[in-house]
Amino acid sequence: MARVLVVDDALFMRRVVSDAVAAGGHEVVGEAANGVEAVERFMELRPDVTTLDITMPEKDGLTALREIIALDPGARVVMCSALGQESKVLEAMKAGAKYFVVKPFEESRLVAAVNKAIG
Amino acid sequence: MSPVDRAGEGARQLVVFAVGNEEYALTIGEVQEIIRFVEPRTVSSDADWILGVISLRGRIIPVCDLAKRLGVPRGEAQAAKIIVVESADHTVGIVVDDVTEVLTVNESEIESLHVAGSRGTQAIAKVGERLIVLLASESIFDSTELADAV
Amino acid sequence: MDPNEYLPMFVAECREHLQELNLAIVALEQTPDDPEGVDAIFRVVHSVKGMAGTMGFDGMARLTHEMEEVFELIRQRRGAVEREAIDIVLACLDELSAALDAIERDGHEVIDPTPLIPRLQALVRGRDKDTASSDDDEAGEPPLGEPLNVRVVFDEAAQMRSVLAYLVLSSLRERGLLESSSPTEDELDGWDGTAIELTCVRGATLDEVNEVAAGTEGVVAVSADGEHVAPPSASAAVGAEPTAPDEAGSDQPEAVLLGDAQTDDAGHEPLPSASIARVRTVRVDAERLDQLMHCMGELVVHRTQLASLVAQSDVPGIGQAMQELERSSQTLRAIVMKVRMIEVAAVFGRLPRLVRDLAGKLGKDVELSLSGADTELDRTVVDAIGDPLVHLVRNAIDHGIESSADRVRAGKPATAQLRLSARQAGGGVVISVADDGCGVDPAAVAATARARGLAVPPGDELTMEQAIELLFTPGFSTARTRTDVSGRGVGLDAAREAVRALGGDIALQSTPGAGTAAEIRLPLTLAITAALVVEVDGQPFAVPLDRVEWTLALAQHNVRMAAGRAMLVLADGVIPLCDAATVLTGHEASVPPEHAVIVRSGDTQIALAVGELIGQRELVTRPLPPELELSRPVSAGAVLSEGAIALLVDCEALARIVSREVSTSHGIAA
Repeated sequence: MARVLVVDDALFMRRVVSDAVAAGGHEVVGEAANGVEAVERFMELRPDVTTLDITMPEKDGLTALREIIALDPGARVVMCSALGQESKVLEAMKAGAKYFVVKPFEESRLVAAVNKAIG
Repeated sequence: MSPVDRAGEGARQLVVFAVGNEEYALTIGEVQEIIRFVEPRTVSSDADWILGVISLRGRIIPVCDLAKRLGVPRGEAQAAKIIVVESADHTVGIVVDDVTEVLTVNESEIESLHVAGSRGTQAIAKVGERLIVLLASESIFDSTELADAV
Repeated sequence: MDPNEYLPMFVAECREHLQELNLAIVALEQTPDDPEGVDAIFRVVHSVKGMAGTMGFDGMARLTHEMEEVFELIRQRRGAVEREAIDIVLACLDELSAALDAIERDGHEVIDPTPLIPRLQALVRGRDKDTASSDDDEAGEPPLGEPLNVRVVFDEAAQMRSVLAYLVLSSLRERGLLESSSPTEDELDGWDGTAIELTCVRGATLDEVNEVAAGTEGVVAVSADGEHVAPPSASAAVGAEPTAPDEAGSDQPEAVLLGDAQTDDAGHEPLPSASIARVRTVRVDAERLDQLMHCMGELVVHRTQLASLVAQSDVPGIGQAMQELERSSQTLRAIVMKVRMIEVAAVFGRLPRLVRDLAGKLGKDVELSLSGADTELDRTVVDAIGDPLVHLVRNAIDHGIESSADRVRAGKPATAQLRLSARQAGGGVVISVADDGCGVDPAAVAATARARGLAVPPGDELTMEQAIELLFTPGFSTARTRTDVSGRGVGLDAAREAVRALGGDIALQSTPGAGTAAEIRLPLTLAITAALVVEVDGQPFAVPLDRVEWTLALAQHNVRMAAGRAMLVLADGVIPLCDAATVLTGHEASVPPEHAVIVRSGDTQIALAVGELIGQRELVTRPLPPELELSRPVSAGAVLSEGAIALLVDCEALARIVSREVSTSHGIAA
C-alpha cells in the first residue's frame, strides 16, 4: 500500500483519481488543486507517489514536477495527461517522472501506473 | 619560526600590500598564495574583524579584514585581494586593498618594533622614503593578543 | 544514448586495468618464468582492447592489440622475458595512461601508437623466427566483437509510443545495458514510429534486454540479430519481421566477448588466482553509493516521523516493533558507510612501478615492501591520498636513500629497504613510509633553507624537530627538488596540506644515518552528514536530517505569542517557534520566513522559521576554523556543490538557547 498525493485542478478528476487509487488498495493522503499547492503538500506529506496533472493554473504540472524532483530526487510521480500532450509527457519522463496515464483512463490503468511507479 | 630577531642574514623578500594609505608586508615564506577578493560567507563572528569564511580547494578558511584588525581606514578597494597565510597550525585569509609588489630588503633596513599595542606588527622596513610595516602573521588572528591590546 | 555516459566508467575501469598491468609486468620482470602471470596479463590487455574498441578509441585498441600479440607469443614460448620487452611494454602502458588522461579531460583520444607499434612488432618478429608465423593471418584488425543489436516493436495502437520508447531506453540505460539507439532519447520528441533499434553493450544478452522491454506496456516484440523472443505482451498482434541472421555465425557476441575462452582452451587449466589478484567484488557506480546514502537519509526521516506517531499510539507491541525498526535502520546505516570503504591497495598499487622507475633512473638499489594493503578507508580519502603518498615515496628515494656505493661505504647493505605500511590506529588509519637511508641532516636543511631565503630559527644548530618543520615550509622543497625526479613543483608542504584538508596530518621522524619515517594519519571516513539545506536571510544553512521531524508552510498555520515567545499552534499541540535568522545571524531576515522546519533535540521540539527550503543534500562537513570565535549554534561548515558554504545548525545548542530564553522573544510576532 502506498501513500498517494493526488494533484489535479478539477475537483471531478481528483475524485475519480482518488477513488481509483483507493480501489487499488492505496491510501490517498492528500489532494492539491494547483502546482504551488502540490509542491507544498508534497513537502509536508512526503507521499510515496504523487499523481500530477499537466495543465494546471498558477504553476503547471511540469514546473511542479521539477520542483518536487529537486526537493526529493527519489520522488515518484505519475503524470496525468490528455492525449495531445505527448511531448510534454516525454519531457516529464526526462525530468524524472516515473510513469504516466492518458486521460480518459480506466481505473485499472491508473492503479497499474501507480504500482509501476512504486516499482 | 620567528624571523624577528634573526640578524645578519642579508636580504629578505617581502610581499608588500596596501591597506588604506599605508603599506604593510609579510615575509614571502608566510604567504601561501594570493587570490582575488571573493565575498566571504558571513558567519556572525563575535570578532568584528572576521569577515567570514571562504572555501579554498575544499577547505574552509577564515577571512579577516586587516584594516579593521589594525584599526586603520579601508581604502578604495577595487583591486582587493585575499592573501592566504599559513600561520602555525592554521590557514587564514587576510583581505587587503591591493598587493603591490614583492620587495627584497636588506636586514639593515628593518627596525624591530617593541611598541605596546602594535597589534600583529613586528617591525618596520625603511626603503628609501617608504615605511613598510612588517606583520607577524601568527598574531593577526590571535585573539588573546587582541584582547590585551584593545 | 550517449556513449559519453559510459566514459567515466570506461576511464575508471581502464585505469584499474593499467595499474594491474603495471604491477603484473614489474612482477614478471622479477619472476620471468611465470606462465600464470603472463596469462593474466594477456587477459587484462585483452579486456582493455575490447573496452577501447567498444568506445571507438582506435589508437588504444590498436596499441593493445599489438601488446596482445607480444604476450600471446611470450605465452607460447614459455621462456624468460627480456628486460627490453618489459621496457617497451611499460612504455606502452604509459602511452595508454596518457591517452586515458586526455580522454578524461576532453573526451577525445590523443594517442599516436605509431612509434611503439614497430617496436612491439620487432619483439614479436624477433621471437618469432622459429615459431609458425602468427603475423600474416592477423594482418588486419581482428573484429573487436559485434555488439548485440536488438529491435523493439510497439503496438501501433499504443498511446504515446515516444514515451513508451523512452521508458524502454531509460531503463536499459539505467541497467547499463544500452550503448546506443535509433532514435536516441533526444530524438524521441515528435517520434511516431513503431520500432526502435538498440545497440546494447557487449556482454548484454537478449534475455536481459527482453526482461526490461517486456515490462513496458505496448511492446509486442523483441528480437535480436538472428534470435527472436516471443512477444512479451499477450496482446501481440503486430509481428516483428525476424531479421535475417548475420552472415557470419561466428560473430555471436558471446563468443567474442569472453576473451578468456580462447585463453583457457589453449590446453591448461582455467587459472585460479594468478599473480593478478582477483577480488570478489561487484563494481558499483559511485553515484549509486551516493543514492544509497540519500535513501538512507530518507529512511531516517521516516523513522523519526513514525517514532513520534508511535509514541501517541497504544497498539499493543508497537513500541517493541518500533525499537526493532530503529535498530535495523541503524545497522543499515552502518553498512552503507561500510560499503563506501575501499582498500588502501588501490593506491599502493601505483607504487611498485614508481619505485622501479625511480630507483632505476637514480641508479639506486631499492627493495619495496608493502604491508596492510587491505586496510580500508572511505573511497574519497583513498582517492585523495594518492598524490601525497607518491610524494613521500619520491622523497624517500630521491633524498633519503643513498647510492649503493655510499651505503656500502657506510657499512649498510647495498640494497635499501623502503617499507610502506597501513594500519588501523584508534579512530583512524596510519600509513607509514619508512626508509633506511641517510636520514635528515639538520645542518644541511638549515643551509638549504637559508639559500632559499627562508626564515631559519636562531641558534647554532637546528634540532631535528626544527629541521623537519623547515622541510614542510612552503618554498623549501619546490626549489630544492626540482630534479627530474621529485620535482613538479609540489613540496612536502603541499602534501601535508592535502592530507590536512582530509582532516589528517603528516608527521616525519628521522635518525641521521639510519633513516626517515613519514606517517600519514587519516580519519577512517570523511564526516558525511545527510542534511536539509535551507535559506536563512540569503545564506544557506543545513539542518542534520536525523534531527528534522517535518516541515510546513508558515502561512497555513497559526502563530501565537505565549509568555512572551512565539508559539506555533498545531492541531495536536504547540511548539516554540524560533526565528532562524535571529538566532543564527543575530538579526532578523529582510524577508519574513516562509517555512518552518520542526527539529527535535532530546525531548524538545522546536519550529525553526526559515526562508526557503532548498533540499536534501549529503554534505561533507568540515570543522569551522577556531579563529572564527562563533557563539552561534552552528557546529561545522560544508561546501555545497554550487560552491557556497552552508553552516550546519547545532540542534542541541539551539535547544539550549530556546529553553534558556523563556522570557525574551526570539520568534516572530504573530
